[in-house]
Amino acid sequence: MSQQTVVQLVFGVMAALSLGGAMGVVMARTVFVSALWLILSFVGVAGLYITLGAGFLAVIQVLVYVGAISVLILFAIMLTEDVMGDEHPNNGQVGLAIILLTPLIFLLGKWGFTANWPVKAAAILPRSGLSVDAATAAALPGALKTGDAFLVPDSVAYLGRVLMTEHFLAFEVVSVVLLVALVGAIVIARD
Amino acid sequence: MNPDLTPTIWILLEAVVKGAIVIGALLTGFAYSTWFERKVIARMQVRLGPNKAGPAGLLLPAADGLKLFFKENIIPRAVDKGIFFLAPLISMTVAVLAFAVIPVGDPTEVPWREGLLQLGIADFDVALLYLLGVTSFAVYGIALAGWASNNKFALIGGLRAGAQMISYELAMGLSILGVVMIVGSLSLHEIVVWQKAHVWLVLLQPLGFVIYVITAIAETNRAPFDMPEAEQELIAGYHTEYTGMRFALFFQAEYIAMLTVCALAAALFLGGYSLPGVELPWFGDLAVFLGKVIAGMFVFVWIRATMPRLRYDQLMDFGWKVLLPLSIINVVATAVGLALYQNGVFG
Amino acid sequence: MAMIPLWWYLMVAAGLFTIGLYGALVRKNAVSVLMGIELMLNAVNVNAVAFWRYVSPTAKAAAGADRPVGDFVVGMDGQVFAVVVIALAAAEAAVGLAMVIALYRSRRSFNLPQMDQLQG
Repeated sequence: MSQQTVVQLVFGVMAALSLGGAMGVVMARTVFVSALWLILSFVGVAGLYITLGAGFLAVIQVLVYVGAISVLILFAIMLTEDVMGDEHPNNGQVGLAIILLTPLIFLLGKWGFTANWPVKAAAILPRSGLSVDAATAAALPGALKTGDAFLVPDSVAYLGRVLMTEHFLAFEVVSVVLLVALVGAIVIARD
Repeated sequence: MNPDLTPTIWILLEAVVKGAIVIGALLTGFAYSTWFERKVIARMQVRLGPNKAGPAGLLLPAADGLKLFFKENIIPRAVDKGIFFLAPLISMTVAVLAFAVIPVGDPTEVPWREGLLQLGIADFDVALLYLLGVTSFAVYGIALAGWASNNKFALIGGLRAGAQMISYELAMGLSILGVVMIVGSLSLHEIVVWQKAHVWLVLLQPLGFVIYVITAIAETNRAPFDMPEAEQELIAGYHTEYTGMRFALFFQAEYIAMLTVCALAAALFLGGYSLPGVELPWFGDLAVFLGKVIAGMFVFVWIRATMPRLRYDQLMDFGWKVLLPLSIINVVATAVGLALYQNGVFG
Repeated sequence: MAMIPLWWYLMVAAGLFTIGLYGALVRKNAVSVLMGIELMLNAVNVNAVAFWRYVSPTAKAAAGADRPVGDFVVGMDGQVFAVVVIALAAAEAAVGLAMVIALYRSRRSFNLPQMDQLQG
C-alpha cells in the first residue's frame, strides 16, 4: 500500500462523509435528524481541507460550523419545533427541482472533469524551508529558478499577515458585517 | 514493502502506542480522580472518606467500575434510540481526543530510531485551535443526551449545559488569545518552550489566567457551575435516563475533561512540564506535569467543597456581562502592551 | 504528480452544491432551507481551497525589504476567500435563525408555505 493509496483512501472517506451527510440533510424526515446529518457533512468537509493541506481552515470549519452554526440550528429546533416529524417535509417542487438540477450536476461535472485547469506541476505545495525543484521551475518559466527558497512561513501567521495587509478591506468589511449581524439578530429575535 | 515507507510506519506505530498509553492513563486518571475527589472532600468535611476497599480505599474505583459494569442497562421506551446510544459515545470520544495535543515532556532521544520522540501524541501549528474545536463537540454529547431522553428534566439539563458551554467558550477562547499573542504560536509545545525560556505566562497574563480558570470550571459543568445536573431542580440533568455503562461514559467524559483543562492550564499558564531554572530528564518532565495536573484537580475539588451553586440566570449574566468584557479588555491590553514592548517603551 | 487529481475535489463540490440547492428548493421548513444554503456555501469553499492548492496564483514575485530576492511566497487568496465565506455564513446563520424564531413566535410554525402574510 503506497502513500498515494492511503491519501486517496482518506479523501474517499471524507468525500463520502460530506456527500452522505448532505444526502442525509435533504432526505431526513425530521429537521432534528437533518441537523445531525449536517454536522457529519461539515466534518467531512473539514477532512477535505486537511487533505488539501489547509489545516487551519479545517479547524476553523469545525470551530465555526460544527461548534457554532450547527449548535445554533439545533437550539433553534429544540426550542421551537415539536419533536414529531412532518409527514410531508417537502413542498410540491421535488419533481421540478430534480428536472432543473440534473442538467446542473451534469454540467458541473463535465466542466470540472474536462476543463483544462492550469494545475501546477508541483501540486503539492512546498512546505517552508524547501526550495524550488526543476519541475516547478519549468512550470513557471521566468517566475522561479531552481533552488529558490519557497516562503510559506508558518501558515497561520502568514494567513494572518495577508489578512491584515493585502486583504485588509475584506477583513474589515467582514468585521462590520459580523457586528451588524450580531446586533440585527438580537433586535429581530427579541420580543 | 516500499523501503522508504519504513519511517512512516515507525511514526504510525509510535502514534498508536502513544495513543494507547494516553487512553490508558486517562482512564486510570479518571478512576483515581473519583477516589481523590471523595477523599479530599471527606477530609474537608472532617470525615475519613472511602477506606474499606483496599488500603485507604484505593480499590474503590475498581469496585465502582465492576458495579457499573454489571448494572442493568435500562432503555426507556420513549427515547430516540439511535441518538440515545450515540450521545455518551460522542461525549467520551471528544474528551479523549482533546488530550491528543497536550505535551507532557520535551522531545527525547529514543534507542529504536534516529531523531527525537515527541512526548505527546501530536503537535502541529494549530494545536490549540484543534483543542478548542474538538471540545466544541462536547456540547453535542450533552445536548443530544438531553434531547433523546425525551424527559423534561433531561431536556432542560441538556439545553442548560449547551447554552452554558457556548457562552463560556467565548470567554475561554479570548482568555487564551493573550497567551497566543505573546508567544506568537498556536502550538502548545512552543508555548511551553517559550515559558521555559522566558517566564511563566501566569505572571504576564494574570487576568487571562483567572478568566481561564473560571471558564474551565463552567466548561466542564463542575460546581459551582453545575446547573445542568443540579439535583434539587433537575434530578440529574441530561443523564437522568442513563444507567450502567452509558452513565459511566458520561461520568468518565466529565472527569477526563477536567484532567484536560488542568493539563491545558498547566501548558498555557504554568510552564507546562517545566520547572523554572531546572532541566529535567523525560521522567522528571512527566512527574512535574502530573504534579501540576493533580494540583489543578485539587483546586477543582476544593472549589466544589467550598462554593454553593449559582442560580442559572446569575451564571449566564456572569458569563456574558462580566467575563466576556473582561476577556476582551485583556486582549486589548495585551495587544497594547505588546506593541509598546516591541517598540522599546519598556527599555 | 498530484496524489489526488483536482477534478475529484470539483466533483465532490459539485455534488455538495447540487444537494444543497435541492434541499433549499424542496424543503418546506425554513431551517432546512437554511441548512441547504450552508451546504452550498461549503461546496463553494471546497472549490476555493482546491483551486488555491492546485491552480492558485502561487508564485508571486516576493517584493519587500524583509525578504531576500529570489524567494517566493505562496498566495493565500483561496484560503482568505474561504475564511471570509465562513465568517459570512456564521453571520447569515445568526440572522436567519433569529428571523425564523421571530416568525415562529407569530405563526407557531417553521413552514415557509404558511408565511404568506403579503397575500393579505
